[in-house]
Amino acid sequence: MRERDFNQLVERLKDKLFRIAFQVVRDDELAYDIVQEVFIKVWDKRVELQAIENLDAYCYRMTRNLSIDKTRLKHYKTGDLSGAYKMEHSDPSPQKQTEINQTMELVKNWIEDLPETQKAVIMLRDFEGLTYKEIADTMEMPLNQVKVYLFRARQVLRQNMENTKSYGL
Amino acid sequence: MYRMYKILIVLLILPVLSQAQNDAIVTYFSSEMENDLFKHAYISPRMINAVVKMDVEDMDEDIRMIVKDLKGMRILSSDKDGKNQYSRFIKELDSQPYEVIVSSRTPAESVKIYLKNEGQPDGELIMVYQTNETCSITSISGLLDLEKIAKLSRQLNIKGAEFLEDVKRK
Amino acid sequence: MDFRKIDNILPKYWEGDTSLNEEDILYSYFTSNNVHESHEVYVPYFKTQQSYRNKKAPVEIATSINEKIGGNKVRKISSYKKFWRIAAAIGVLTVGVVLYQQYVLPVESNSALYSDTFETPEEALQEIKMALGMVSNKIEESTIMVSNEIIKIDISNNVLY
Repeated sequence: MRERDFNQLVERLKDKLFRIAFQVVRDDELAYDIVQEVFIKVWDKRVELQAIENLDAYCYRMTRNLSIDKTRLKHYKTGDLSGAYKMEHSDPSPQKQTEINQTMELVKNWIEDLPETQKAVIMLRDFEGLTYKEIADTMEMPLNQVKVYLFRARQVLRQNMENTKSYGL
Repeated sequence: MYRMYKILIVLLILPVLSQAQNDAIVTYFSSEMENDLFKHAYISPRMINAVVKMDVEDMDEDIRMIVKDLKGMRILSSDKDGKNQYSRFIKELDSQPYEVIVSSRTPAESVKIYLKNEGQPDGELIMVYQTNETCSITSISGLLDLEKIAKLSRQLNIKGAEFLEDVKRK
Repeated sequence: MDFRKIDNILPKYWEGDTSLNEEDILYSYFTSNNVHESHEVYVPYFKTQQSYRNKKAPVEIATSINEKIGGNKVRKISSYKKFWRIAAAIGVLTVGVVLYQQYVLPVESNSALYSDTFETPEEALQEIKMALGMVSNKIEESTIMVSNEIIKIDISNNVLY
């Protein structure tokens, strides 16, 4: 890997890795450090990594694993997930927007309440746009398992959303 | 300290600036080099040195005299869509500062030979050749002596000899 | 917007059976301002995705990484002595490289473009002969075609062949 390729990799993945790390550690500064550490490791190992089939997935996995390690180390157990979302107001009707915003808050909580693996899988798919294969590589699990977790997580969210609507907020 | 960095940067850039020029194929047709439609061959200066040092019986002395001054050779060829490739090649090269020394077009084949800096170490000769569907472009770089090259066809046992056979019969 | 298309994709989505492409279609649809009433219930989920994706790594991260991977050599230049040592080394290297490029390897610089196709000088010679022969032949041909005089000379030289 030449420096130019490496810089392109950084440009392509920095935001995703940052979010993946943040998702686990819930701390901007720590997520920042993790992403740096991941990229520096990739650079140091660039010769060995040439043989790697999917470098992106390798980076996702390393970021996730490193984030979990750091969390264990520093006991970042309870963090505020709201920092992971940047609000944007663009909808026409303010009333509708308020309604959506309220449900969005619920959605975040529902995701939070999912079992750890389901949460990770749905985040990687719906929020980061990874392929099933990349998720399987990142999570170190078989591909069909990824789909099962994703199915379960989406079902929970769907149920919750439909219930919210029918009962009203 | 800032000034010293400037000196450092100049020192670092120097080797880049003094790098030898690329041949025409690399300069103008790099995308074709990556295209599967084209076959690509390259002979490096190192290989040319090795050729020059080969045993006498393997090589004609006239060839050796020409080859020893060469710096490299590159060929790009395709056996599909020859006519279009040919037009594209010569269109690009016609717009570059080369001297056209041969230009011939018959129903059977077309050829155009370009030359730059003859007799100088940075000289380059480019031949674009098309017949039926095939088209090739050959770049020979180094110190080129056209007179010596022209004489070669009489010594080499290739298609050129057949042509001269025809001339003899006339 | 083709709502039927969305109705087709949506059940697959909940089953965990959609492609990224299809999910992109859903994402664009649900984050637009033109969502069918029957779909509105799912808007918050996709809007949550949208707001999540807006979170970006601090911009300086790339520069900071770059400094760290290439920084070793820069950080070492901390004293005049070290500076001049490195400058001198680069100077010597530059002269070496220039000489090498000018006299030894005038064309070689990029390994992919400049790697030899032929493994032996014999094969290379064959190719060189072919190419030079062709060039020579074409030069001769055109000369002959241009000047009758030269044809005569060539014919009179026939003894050679």
